[in-house]
Amino acid sequence: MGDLWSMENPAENTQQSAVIDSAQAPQPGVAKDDPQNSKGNLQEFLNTSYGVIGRTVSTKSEPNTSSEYHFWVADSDKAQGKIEIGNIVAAYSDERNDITFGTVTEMRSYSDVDSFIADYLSHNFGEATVEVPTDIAEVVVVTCVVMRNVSSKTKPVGRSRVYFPSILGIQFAYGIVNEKGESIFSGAPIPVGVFENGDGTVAPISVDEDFLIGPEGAHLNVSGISGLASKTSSIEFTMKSLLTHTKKKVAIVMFNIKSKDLLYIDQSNERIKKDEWSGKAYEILHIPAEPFVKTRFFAPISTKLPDSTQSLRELKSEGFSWDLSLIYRDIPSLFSSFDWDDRMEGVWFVIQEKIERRELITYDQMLTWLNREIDNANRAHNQWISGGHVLTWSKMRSHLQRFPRSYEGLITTSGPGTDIPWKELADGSVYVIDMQMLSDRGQRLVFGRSIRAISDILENKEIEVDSVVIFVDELNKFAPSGQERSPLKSHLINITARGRSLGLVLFGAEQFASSVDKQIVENSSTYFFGRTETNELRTPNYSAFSEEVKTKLTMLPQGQLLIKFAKFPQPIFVKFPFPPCLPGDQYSSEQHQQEE
Amino acid sequence: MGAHHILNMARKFISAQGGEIAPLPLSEEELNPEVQEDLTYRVLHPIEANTSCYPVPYKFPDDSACSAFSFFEDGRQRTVLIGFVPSRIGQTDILIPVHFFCVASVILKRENHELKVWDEPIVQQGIFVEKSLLPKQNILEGFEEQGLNIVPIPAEGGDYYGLREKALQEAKKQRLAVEDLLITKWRESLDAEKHFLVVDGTLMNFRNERNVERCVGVSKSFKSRYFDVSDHNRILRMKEFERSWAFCFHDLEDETDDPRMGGRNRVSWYLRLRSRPNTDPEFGLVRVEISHHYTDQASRYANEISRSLLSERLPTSYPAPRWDKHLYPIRACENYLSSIMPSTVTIDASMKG
Repeated sequence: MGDLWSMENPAENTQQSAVIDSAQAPQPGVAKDDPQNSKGNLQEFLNTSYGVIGRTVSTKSEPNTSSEYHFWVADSDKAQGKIEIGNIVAAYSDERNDITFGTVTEMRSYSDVDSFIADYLSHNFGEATVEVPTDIAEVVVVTCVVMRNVSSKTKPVGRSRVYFPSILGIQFAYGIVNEKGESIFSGAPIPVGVFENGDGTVAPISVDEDFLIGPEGAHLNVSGISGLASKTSSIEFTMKSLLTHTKKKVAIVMFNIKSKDLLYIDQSNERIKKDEWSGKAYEILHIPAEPFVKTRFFAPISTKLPDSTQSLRELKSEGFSWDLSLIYRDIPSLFSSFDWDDRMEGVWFVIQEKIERRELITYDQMLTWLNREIDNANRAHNQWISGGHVLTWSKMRSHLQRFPRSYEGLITTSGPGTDIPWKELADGSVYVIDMQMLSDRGQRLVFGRSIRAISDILENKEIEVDSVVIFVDELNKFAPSGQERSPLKSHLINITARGRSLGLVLFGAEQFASSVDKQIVENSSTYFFGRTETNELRTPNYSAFSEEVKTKLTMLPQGQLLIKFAKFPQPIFVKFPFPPCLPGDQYSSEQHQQEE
Repeated sequence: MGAHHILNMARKFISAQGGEIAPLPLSEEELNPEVQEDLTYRVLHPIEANTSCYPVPYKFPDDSACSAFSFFEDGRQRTVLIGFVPSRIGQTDILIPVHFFCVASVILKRENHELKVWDEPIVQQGIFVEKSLLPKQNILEGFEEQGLNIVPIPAEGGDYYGLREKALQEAKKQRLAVEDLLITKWRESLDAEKHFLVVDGTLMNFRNERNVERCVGVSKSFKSRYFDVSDHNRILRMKEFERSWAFCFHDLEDETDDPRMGGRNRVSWYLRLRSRPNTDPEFGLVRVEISHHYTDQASRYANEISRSLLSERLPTSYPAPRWDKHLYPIRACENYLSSIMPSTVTIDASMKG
């Protein structure tokens, strides 16, 4: 345009047609004052240096309520693109007497385009490449679920400026600390990760020990698809944190059910040193980035090599092999549900009675006795043995004959067995039971036998620990959802319902929470959700989450989890560092030898 | 001072005068849509040949974002009857209407395709009432001292309907005043040196010629015919991206007005922003005004300004009424002002307490 647009006669300040003094007129612009100038210490809950990121808004159709509020995002670089689902924000009332914390559950982008046809028209009736001089006004409206407010009054959020909260604000919002920053947990705070807010604020997130391992609540359930290393890593990290921060005497028993997953938890993880963020996270959370100590590794003995086990661990491991007296109560778990019926159960009761009367001491004795009973009945053309049909007895015999071969090393047929030294569990002990070499039924036997043994010693107060934490992956294998009942599943339900009073705590992991018995999942007071598939998110376990939170769960990156904890008003997305110990698949014997 | 506070004081004022609170749920503007503003204009002379219309040098879609405009101005007014005060002067019983008014003006600045408020909007609120007819004159000063802006309506007699009409006229006067004040402020700024200000509506309402020199007025409504039927029909049949011949016109009032105010001569032309089949002859038709200062170069200015205005036709403000003539930034000004002015619902609710 050049000169055409330039003023030919620059303005001279000659005419003043002031009718109204604009300085006296109401100023609808941005309020000049800010919380830094206000009285009181409410500003300590806010990241005031970052500035205001929006204002609450309430409309006729979408009013703010005591449980939910909306705000629009300010048009500034510090607000636009910084807020995301799961962030925590703080609405600071215009009256400066309250702050309401909310977690972002939904974000919508509005424009003043009334309809699709309006935008079509705006592009000259459908010319998609056309450029326009003015961008259509757009606003991002954020919906937050109320977490907590400073006034502790249940009321809708009024006109407020919205900030990102400070670390204190975040921890206050989650009920971790009071307004002075003091822990309000009844037990020790156990860090489970760090929360990173949209403004970059990093806040340590802890759960209450009394709700993680009892007595108020207990049990942890972790779900998420495999392959992202979130489940095992997060539990290893949480257990390390627990052993570091607990005020109680805690022992841990882990079950290694696949590959070498947990077989090198006594080895340090070099990735922590290489990953700056992980190192810093351990520092912030006051957890030593060191592997587990006081560890012992157990596996069924090897029948091929003397004094060795069937473990994949190349370093030291201890063997166990169970004689009849140790496992007879768990033998039913080795049968499939198709084979185990009332008739079989009846026969087993007869055998079990003889074992409990110590008439049958070894597995071989049991088989010999069975052979004799069946032979006698056949010779006498007697179809019934102690009320059970001889064919049922024969079926029982063939199964019992097969088990020692199927679970070689696990079952000692003659002589005394070697049990896992449960009574040596002490404060800080970490046992790893390697059972990856066993079939599903064999794993059920080991798992069932172990938790029963631990229950017994806890009940009888034979060890000096307050809690024993049991960690098992693929929990669905041991307690699948559905109507089917097994002794092991019933026992696990019992543990999650009442185990906390004993001090028996279950940390379970599985791909899909819906595949685990509902009672076991619901009895947990802490949940970690890793990346989850869309189909799984349609199940009732996730009905409390908004669609946006679910969408975020489907895209959750490695090292991040959604944590739902009994005392948190809302779930929280946290990041956790690399585990403190070496993932089993990264162990190299050569490297280990070099280091040694 | 916020609207709620002013309305609260207005309520007390009416009660103190012995009147009744009786807010109408509609504004006077809604009840009496503005009459066309250009009925009395007279064309002085065509500046260009009026034998044909002119294609604007605008190539679509290459020029779709070519607008050189960056500043846009609009003003709004809202006048709501909130009550009445009965009075008796001599033997005459009078019913004095009391109106709440709010007038505001804003300039939006466009930078990087985004609109922002330039400087600050001007907002003026208060009540309109025929002061001299009020029964309790002694309390007027007290309310004014407390911040209630009481604007007198210069009226003759005590005709209720006449007073309401005067209130509406006064609102327009107030609105034009805040618009003029803001435009003056803008014109005195450095921004005015290299830019024109696009103003919603005619420039004939503005007396400050120095302001008008930097303004482009865009009128969406016009029912006057300035040319003979044949010439005017040629305008109504213009094609998309065509403009009429530029012409010079002025207000008839100027001929009898105080000559010291200066004549309000403007250069104007019609422009077809868009056309579609099966639409009325005024679809997408606007009338553009600039100062008579540019008469000598009217063709050049008409082409260049039309080119920018054609660029402003997108995005549309559909489904706003008259969206075909709307310029999106002007619509944004209207939306902004609506958001900062108290709605009739708020006024009604505040008055009812």
